[in-house]
Amino acid sequence: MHDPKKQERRRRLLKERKDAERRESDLDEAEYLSLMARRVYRTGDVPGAARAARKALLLNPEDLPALDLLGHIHYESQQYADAAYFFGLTRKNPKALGASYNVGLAHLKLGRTREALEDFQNFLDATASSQDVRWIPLRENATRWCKDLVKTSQSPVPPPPPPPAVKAPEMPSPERKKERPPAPVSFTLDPVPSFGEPLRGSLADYFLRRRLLELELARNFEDLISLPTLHEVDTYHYQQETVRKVLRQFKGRALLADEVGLGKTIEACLVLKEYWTRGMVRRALVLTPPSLVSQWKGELTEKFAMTPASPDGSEFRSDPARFWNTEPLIVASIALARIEPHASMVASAAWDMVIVDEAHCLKNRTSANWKLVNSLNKKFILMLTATPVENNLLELFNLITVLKPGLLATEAEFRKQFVVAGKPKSPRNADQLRSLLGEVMVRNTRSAADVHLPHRIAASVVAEPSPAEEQVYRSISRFVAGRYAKVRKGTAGLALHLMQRQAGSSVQALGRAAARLLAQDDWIGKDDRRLLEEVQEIASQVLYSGKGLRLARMLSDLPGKAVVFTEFTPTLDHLAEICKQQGVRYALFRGDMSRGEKDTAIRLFRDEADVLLSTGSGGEGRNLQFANTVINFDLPWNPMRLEQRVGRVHRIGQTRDVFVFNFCQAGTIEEQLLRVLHDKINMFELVVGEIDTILGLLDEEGDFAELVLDLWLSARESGNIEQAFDGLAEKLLNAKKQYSAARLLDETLLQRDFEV
Amino acid sequence: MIGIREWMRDLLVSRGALVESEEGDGIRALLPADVAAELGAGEWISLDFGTRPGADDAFEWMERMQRLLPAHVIVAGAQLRSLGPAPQVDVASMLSSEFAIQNGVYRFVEEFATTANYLFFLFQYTVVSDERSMGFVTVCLNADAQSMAPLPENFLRMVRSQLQEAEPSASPDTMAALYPAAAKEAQREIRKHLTRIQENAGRRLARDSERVESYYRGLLSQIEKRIAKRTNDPEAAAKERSRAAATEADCQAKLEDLRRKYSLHVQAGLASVLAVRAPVRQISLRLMRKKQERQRMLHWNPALRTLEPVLCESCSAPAHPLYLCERVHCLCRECWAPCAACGRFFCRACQQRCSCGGKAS
Repeated sequence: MHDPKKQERRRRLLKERKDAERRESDLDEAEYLSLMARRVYRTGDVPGAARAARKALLLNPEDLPALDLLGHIHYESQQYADAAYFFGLTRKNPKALGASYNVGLAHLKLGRTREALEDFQNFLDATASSQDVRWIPLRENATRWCKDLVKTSQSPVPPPPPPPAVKAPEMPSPERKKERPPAPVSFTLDPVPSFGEPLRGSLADYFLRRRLLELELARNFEDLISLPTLHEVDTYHYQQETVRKVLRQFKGRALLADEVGLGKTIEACLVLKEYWTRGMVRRALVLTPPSLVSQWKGELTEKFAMTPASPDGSEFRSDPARFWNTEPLIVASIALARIEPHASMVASAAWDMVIVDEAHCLKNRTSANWKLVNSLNKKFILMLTATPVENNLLELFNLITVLKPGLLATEAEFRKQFVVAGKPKSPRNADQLRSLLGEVMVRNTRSAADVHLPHRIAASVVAEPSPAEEQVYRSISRFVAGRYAKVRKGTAGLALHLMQRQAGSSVQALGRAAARLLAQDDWIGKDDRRLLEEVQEIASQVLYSGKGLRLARMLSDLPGKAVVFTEFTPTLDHLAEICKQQGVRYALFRGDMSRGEKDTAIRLFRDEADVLLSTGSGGEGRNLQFANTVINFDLPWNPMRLEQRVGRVHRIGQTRDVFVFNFCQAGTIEEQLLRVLHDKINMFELVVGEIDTILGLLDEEGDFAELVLDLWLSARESGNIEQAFDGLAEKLLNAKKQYSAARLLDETLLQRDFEV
Repeated sequence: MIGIREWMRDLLVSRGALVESEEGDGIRALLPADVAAELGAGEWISLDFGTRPGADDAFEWMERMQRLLPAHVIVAGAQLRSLGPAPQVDVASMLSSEFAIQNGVYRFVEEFATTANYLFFLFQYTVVSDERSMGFVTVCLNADAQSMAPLPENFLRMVRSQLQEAEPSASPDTMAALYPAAAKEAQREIRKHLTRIQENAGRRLARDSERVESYYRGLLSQIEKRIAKRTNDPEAAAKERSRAAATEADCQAKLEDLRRKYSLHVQAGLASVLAVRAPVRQISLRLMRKKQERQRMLHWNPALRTLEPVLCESCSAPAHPLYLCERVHCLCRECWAPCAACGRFFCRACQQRCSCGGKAS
């Protein structure tokens, strides 16, 4: 009955199970205690935190957070030997990649240079394959110290004192940010109700009360319900706060005056989308400078899933009155909308929301722009400008008067109350003026938004074409010039425009374009057909272009990861061929890929490939900060497209300087464009977003790309290409100067008083 | 605005009005005399909530129509139209996956279908700091099993279509007894909702404090320079020193003002309670720790397909996993935590403080 062996076995099993249970419970308790210790540490009770962490170690001697915390505590109280001990114990955990760095710091403080050198080298080895950007600054520090330590170990003089108090990073996130004290919270609960008969209500009442609460929340814009519907948009906290402020405080009438590059367009689109989703806006009009129409359309379509119409469509041409009166969402250039008969039609239509981009065009009350926007029948209005005051305070008065008539009283009163006599840029009663402006204006600054981007360094690569390439380019330019003026407004005009751009991209793209034209278009005559066939034939024979050769050379010496952009798929295929021949690992990213395929391409680029070959379309909002080189194999003629390309790499989270290489073929439009944008206005080294503002100041009638083509075609006839493009550069330079002066004035005047 | 028109229509219908919904954004209704008087409108109303000029303001009408709802807390009762037994469940595997006692064991006693009283407490709250924000949370407690139904909004959505008017299944005393637990849970939920607001207020507080400090740092450094210049004139130096002290005090007062400005004041209150009787599977267990044991029932919720966590007998928070004290109190982890002073575990339901005299933590 009582087999002693069995009993013994049962007892042993029972003991083992109990031990296992106790161990599990101990681990749980240790985890909990180390969590408590970190909480206590955050409140400032360091001894309490150390006590709790030690208790956690009694239960689990390998508890990583507790070891790390004790290391920090000792480090901060300058007990570096103890800090080195605890940090040293964390090294046993393979997850703690930064452990050696921390030990190295402690050793450095102790003057143990040899050990410190070894630790930093271990850290560099451990994080060499990690793509985590958080390690980058630490790796830079470690590399620097390694160099210093190697030097000092070789020199007979004693080593320099260790660097001043470098804060050791916390294990999970190597960049430890300064912790802000949380805003205190106090709680008050209403008295307990009696729950008796007098409180009885019906089931319907219960649900009606609930729905009322839901409606109240929606009315107060407690949650931004449009956020989950956006596509590949990074929205930052200051943008969301701005949107909330516009919706809740300003009731949809606001001046968005963020510094350039902080995403005013995204903020405005978010406000529009929020109203749209809630059914509070059903007709909206976006007025922009001509050069920004396509960008706005693109943003609204791609990122906000809206379908804007614009006056470049056939519907507008066939019946403008119907277009202005019935289209739910219109993006139009203000230059078009202000001229008759459109101005009257726009003014007579009812708009739920009007957005005016680059709203400094409304600074003058006698201008057609101001009169148009002021005459619009609108419920909500957003005005976007980085420079609300350019020359004098009266401009601000004019802007605010469109927004909230009467807020700044009459012009005479405004002058009397808020402008120093004889000094139109100097405000008086500044506090009162600020408080009034605070009712309609938001102005986020880079420093408040914590947006500090590294430098951009740009270089042009002008490649000499082969004779065949040169011949093809010249033929095509002649072909386009001869026909463009006649057909510019129709589809044929578009095809020619595209063809000229494809000629600047690669012969492969041009060959494909010629083939398509030959197959589809019936407006081509016999001579044209012969020319296009010739182009097609030459294109098929050219294997390596001048640009291709330069790229191949560059790729073979590439130090890090690079993104190569082109606008055209045939060029992309050609680039892939070059990469294959050079033995460069690459990933392909095209606008027509599915979301899954795009994700795979980005993953491949991040983890394995050295080069991402990408078309310009799609992919915005994807994080490519792990690369820091952008190669523009061809140049889109719209500088904003260029800005968007660079912006994929040069964005928040990028810690290294970004290199931009712009390729072009000598003797092409692109060469001239590059001369204007790079050599004259130094566009690639401007702050993100400044180019938008500068182009907005140009106030040309058409799209910038059209302007470029027109300039090229007209100058070709007269043979003064350089002069013509110099004229464009001059205009851009003036706009840049105007913007710089206004920016300076606004910074002085508005300071940082209108941040969210 | 999405939903306003539908809410108004249902409200008016519930008050006996004849409502005719117009195509698009309008609503037309023939109101009973008392409703018309309450709204300050005629017997016939025709409202247009479109975006056209001259349209009615939907929010203004929403505020007016609120008057038709009771101003006090609403206590309503309901039951499911078909109160069939809850479907059977594999108790052994369910318990092994959903129930855990960290420092004791349990024995299964019995299991059967029954019904339970659920109380849906709806709390409304307002947060006031430099901006005003509001919200509401629902807490659902099982009055019979003294447990909490997780995901109360989902639960309500699932049973809503089957609800019909009934007397509240729980007595006012039961509601009052469960109210503190509901209020505590509501507070916990509200705190979760506050994260964004608190972060933003904290960010603004840090930003403004930094500006104030930098401004006063500038002032103080100027004063220090003046003090350094006036070493030969002790009286003037003393004057400057007292100015520095006043500036320092002024700076502290400004920082205090900022802290006050950005501190969050939450005012929460009960808006309504709905008592619903719904089917459950009742499971009885014997809970054992050392030589002590007690019987405890648990409810498996068939709508949510989950075992409801029991309420901690000390703090009323949902206790999962469960901890038992020597007297077999059901506790959450926080109420069976070691004393901060001596490190010994003790039950917060049995005693407020640890026997070593340390504060209960």
